Amino acid sequence: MTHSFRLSVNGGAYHVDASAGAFLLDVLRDDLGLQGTKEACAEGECGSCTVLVDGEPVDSCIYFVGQAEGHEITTVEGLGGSDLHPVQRAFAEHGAVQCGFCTPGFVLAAAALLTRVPDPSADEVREALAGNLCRCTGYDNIVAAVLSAAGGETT
Amino acid sequence: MTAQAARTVRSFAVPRTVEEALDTRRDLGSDAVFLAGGTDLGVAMRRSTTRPHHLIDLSRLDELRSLELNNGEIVVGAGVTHRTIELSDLFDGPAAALREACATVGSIQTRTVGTVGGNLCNASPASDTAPVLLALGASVEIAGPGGRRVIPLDQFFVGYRLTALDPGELLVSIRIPAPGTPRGSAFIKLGRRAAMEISIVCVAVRIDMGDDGAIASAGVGLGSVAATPVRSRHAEDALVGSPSEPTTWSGAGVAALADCDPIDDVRATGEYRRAMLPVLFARGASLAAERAGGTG
Repeated sequence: MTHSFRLSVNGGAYHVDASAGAFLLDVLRDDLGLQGTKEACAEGECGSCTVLVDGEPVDSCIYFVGQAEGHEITTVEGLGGSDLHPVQRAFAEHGAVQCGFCTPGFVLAAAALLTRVPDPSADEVREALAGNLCRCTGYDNIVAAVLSAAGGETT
Repeated sequence: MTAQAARTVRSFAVPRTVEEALDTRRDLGSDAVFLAGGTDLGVAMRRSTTRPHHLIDLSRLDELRSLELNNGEIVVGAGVTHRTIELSDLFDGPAAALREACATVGSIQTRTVGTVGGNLCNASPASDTAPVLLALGASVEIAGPGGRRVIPLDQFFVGYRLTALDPGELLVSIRIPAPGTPRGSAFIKLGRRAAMEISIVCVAVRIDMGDDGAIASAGVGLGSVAATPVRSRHAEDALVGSPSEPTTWSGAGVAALADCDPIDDVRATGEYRRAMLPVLFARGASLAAERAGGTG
């Protein structure tokens, strides 16, 4: 059965008709056309589906769309403005992207970390990103990118 | 693509009070389930191992979100997230083990929405929070159609993934009693990797020091060693009245084995768990005693 949900995504207000038990990931991708958020494990383990809820990372694949009402949802499309977010730029510059499937999740989780801890250690970066899995890079370039973004200008 | 189980959901209710949540559940019947953070329920529905027809979202209940310190007693609303506890300075002191445990539940993504109450109601034998709360002597407040009741947490886990909640009841809060004497607690978890682990075995120890330098009171909780989270009376008995020193920890760690019945599973054998338990116990007990002001 469909319900009408009111969502705030990347600063915009949306009315979405979706199944009462729909997950936010599916609504973002299929109803709002925001396909930057990825489905990989679909069970809250890999972090590819990470979005920010009121600035904090959440796995959207196991988060019901109804839970999202009344909160500010940020997807990777909502990071940065006309320029790349410093984390995005750093990922590109540091070879932290190979296939790219995990990247949106990592970028959001890293951006949330740097908002909370502007100057993290490498260990703090690894701990904060423990919920994001990458099969390609071996993580070192990702950690270097996040540290670099922290060291530069962050908004 | 919408998960199959999600498609069978007919309604998503958003009550504003505990009473409204209970009434909604009563009206909808047993096809309705309570939704806290969804980090267990969402997974179960993704796998279609559960197919509720109605979801009752508890996240708007202010009463379940409260986190308070009242004269040394800590009251944790069932809807308080692991992340809130991880970051809360209420757990700087005697109840530090709960913060340590909450910090190991899944990832930040998990902890941001997953709740302590949901973790207890899921009643996994590998719950990280349950052994700590057992060691801290916690009790739980339950609300249902018949009213409210409070029971000790060690009466809450009645079987494998089974709790003392009757149909239609929900968990309101967890109460951690105030310590009477200097107290320290610690949580030690063994896993194959540093994060995102269901424990191979975990131990929570709470030590209250007496004036005479001996342990006045103790609580020990164990995880992944039985069908339910376990409170180890044998370990507690071995600790009480003993001095704060390594021979006490090794004796009590061996005593804890009497309360364990670990299985072989994908993560480890029962034999390995039995071998590791005293090692983790000694680390936890030593740390708890040090935090209580004992010599460790």
